[in-house]
Amino acid sequence: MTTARPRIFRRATLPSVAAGAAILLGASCLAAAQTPPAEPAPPTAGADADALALVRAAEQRRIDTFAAASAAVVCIFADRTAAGGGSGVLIDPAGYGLTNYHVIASFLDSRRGFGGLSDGRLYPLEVLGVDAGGDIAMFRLHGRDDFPHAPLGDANDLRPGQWIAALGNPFMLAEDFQPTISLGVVSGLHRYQTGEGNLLEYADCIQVSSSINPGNSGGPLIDLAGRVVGIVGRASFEERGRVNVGLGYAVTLNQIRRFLPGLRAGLLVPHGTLGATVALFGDDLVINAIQAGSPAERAGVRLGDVLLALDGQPVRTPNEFNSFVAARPANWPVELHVRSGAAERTLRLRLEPLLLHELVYIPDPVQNAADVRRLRAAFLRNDLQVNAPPSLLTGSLRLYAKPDEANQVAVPADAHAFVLGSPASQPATAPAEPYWPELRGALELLLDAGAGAHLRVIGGDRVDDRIASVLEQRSDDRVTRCMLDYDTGELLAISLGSPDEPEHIHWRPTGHKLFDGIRWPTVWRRSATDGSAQRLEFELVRVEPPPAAPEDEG
Amino acid sequence: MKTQRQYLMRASAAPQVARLAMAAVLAAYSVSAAAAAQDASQPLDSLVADARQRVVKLYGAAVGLEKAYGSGTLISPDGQIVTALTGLLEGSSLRAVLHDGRVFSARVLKRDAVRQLAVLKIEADDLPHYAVPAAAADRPLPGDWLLAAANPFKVADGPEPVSVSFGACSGETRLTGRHRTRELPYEGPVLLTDIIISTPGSAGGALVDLHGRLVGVIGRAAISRQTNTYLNYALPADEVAAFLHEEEPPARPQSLVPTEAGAQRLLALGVRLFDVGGRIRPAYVERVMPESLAWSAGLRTSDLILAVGDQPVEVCDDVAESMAELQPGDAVELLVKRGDDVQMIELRLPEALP
Repeated sequence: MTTARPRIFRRATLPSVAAGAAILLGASCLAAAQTPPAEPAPPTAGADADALALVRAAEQRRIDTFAAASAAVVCIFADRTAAGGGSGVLIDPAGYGLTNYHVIASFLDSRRGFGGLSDGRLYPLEVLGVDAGGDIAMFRLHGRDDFPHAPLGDANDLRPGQWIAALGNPFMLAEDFQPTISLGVVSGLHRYQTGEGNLLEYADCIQVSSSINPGNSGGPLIDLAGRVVGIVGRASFEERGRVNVGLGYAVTLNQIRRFLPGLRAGLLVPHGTLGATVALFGDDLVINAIQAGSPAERAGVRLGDVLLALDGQPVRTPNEFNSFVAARPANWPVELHVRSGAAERTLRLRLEPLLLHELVYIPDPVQNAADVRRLRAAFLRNDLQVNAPPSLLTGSLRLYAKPDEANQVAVPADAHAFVLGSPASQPATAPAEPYWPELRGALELLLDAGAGAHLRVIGGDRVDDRIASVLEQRSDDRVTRCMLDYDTGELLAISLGSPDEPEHIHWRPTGHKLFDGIRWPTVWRRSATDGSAQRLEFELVRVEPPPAAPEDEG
Repeated sequence: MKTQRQYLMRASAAPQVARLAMAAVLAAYSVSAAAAAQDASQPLDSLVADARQRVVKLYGAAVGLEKAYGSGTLISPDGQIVTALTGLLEGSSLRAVLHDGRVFSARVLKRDAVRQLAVLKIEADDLPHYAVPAAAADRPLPGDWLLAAANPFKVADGPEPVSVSFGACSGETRLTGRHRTRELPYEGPVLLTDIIISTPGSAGGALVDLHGRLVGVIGRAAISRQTNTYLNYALPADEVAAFLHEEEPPARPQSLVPTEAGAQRLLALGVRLFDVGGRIRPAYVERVMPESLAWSAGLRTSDLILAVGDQPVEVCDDVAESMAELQPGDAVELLVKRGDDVQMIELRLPEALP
């Protein structure tokens, strides 16, 4: 069956199409069908003027959005002519950015490379922490304090068929560091791509039709609002070699967010595992193997339990189970809803590390210390809202247990001393005083640089639905952890315990009071692994340094 | 906003406006995306949702280098599925997996050796499906937006949704292509697109226009004879309709290469010759499908075919040419050498050939 319609010159199709989006027309096939028209038709003949205006406005918005996003895209190069390199994206004006682990793996020993920006300049690049299992790494560019950066989005808002762009440096084309923009659609969500052993596993990834080629790795997926929703790193290649055939894969930003606290502190952040596997028996997702000593076993999961939900999300297939767990770091809290026989139970556990024996990684203590400083400063500035005279930030906030203790101890002249004690109005059921020393010890780690000298970021945690950095001080017999919001430094929780049981006691601030220009957490919930829980309230009393003793005469 | 609504209404009346309907849709999305609040419903949602329900994942036999997975498009509520004619459909393990994860055993109802299409049947009811429009006049125009839905690289598993991709209709042409080393017999019209649909597992998937109508079925991977590049093409819906309504296989076009007919007969018997390309290829049997007619007759891997009937054969092409002369239902004797022995294998072609 043939149709001999002379479409090409019955109406002008090319310009109005071009106004919509970049479309590749089969040039050879059109050329074959075309005979020269008598006179060129006007470019937008037959097009409704209002609709055309909408199209042009949409196109301009797109151009503006991607121009802004392009400024934040980094062309990453190794620090020598060796192989390695790709793309990355800046997420912070200080120059912090994200890329794939495999982009920087070749220069992980020196941790030094270069990043080219669309301003045409090459900046020194330093590798911070890595998530080799999930193929993510954080880097920092040096040379400015006002780097262009892209806002972070939420991959849970994505819908299949939605426009999405990959920005990066495919085939390392960009000699002027202007990133290549490739527009496609979200082809699928929650996709799985097997890794190599435990490395480079893409669980719960975004599948896109944007053109992804070697060199795109590490670059951002940007939605039409200009937000980073993922980092592109893999594609399906087959017989045609390593060139795009329309299937690319990106790690979701939601997964990356859980790893940010460790990455920022220069750590290798392992992924987590439950220590149990599942299989489908009919419609039930059944726990069919549990490792001895695993978090699952310790939480009370039993063989034959039917897994119903994880963190409140229903789980129906082994793939969904794997995607959930594989997107989380070690130590992440997980709530399991299971059915044992006829009864339903809720169990809580923390994932344990999935070790990468192939990888030797030495975390940089300098980066860790820098991140501790960042978090403590944010805590003082954002959480306590201390408009701080410098002396406060160098640790001269002191806390005392009792008013008379403060009076007996020589308060340094430059110290600001406060006492948190039990208010007279305290409900009789929960006197705070006996618990004050343990809370004070933890708070002093954050307030006093001397006391907090051995604080280290050990990773991240989830407190309610907020991502927290975990600062830990560890001695032979005691472990104290402070969970601070990764972005704002807000103190979300404190845990105390021993090396064997680091989270024996848990403190959560639930109320604050403004006292002398500082927003103190004064109402707390204290819980322990023995099941006990109290609500405690403290009061603040300012202590003045005792007057200087009069000079002796003569 | 008023302009958009007015626009979309006109789109269904006048085809030339369909092109910009997508633009209005795009504009609507851009506007809502730029707003701080998340827009709950995007214009393409229903298009994508429908496509994902109407395209199935197929799994079947692995024949030679061919993939054992593919895609299919539901065209009736009781489970008729149109797909590409590939080795996947051979054997008895063909199954279709729906969008909700239900697995059905599938059987081949009808084949079209020229168009390289097939219709499968699963036993189900009330399935969402595409109607197959018949009129050639409804083919998409160059520049029209198209949605492709398929399962390339078998990325989707079980209840996971198939992959969707978006792009433009590049135009229409007559297919002159080959699949691996074999010329494709179909030389009729095909739709071209800039969506990369020539990927493994995509054949049999759906190509849909902005109105949600099926405009094509993705063809099996083909390389253009002129340009030696992969063609992103689909059989137009009206060709699919013609296939569905034909009572008998169409008269074989003159250009059908005799070796193609011979290869079809060998496939029907379950025989694959050791074909590595090049002009001199002794007729060794590479593979005999288990439970096929050839297997039952005793033919086995590494047998060397010496004669077909009373025709001596030296190379694979000779076998194919001799087989091409046979009609459905005909009996044939193959003289084969196995090790040091020479044997006679008696075969009968099936009554209905693919």
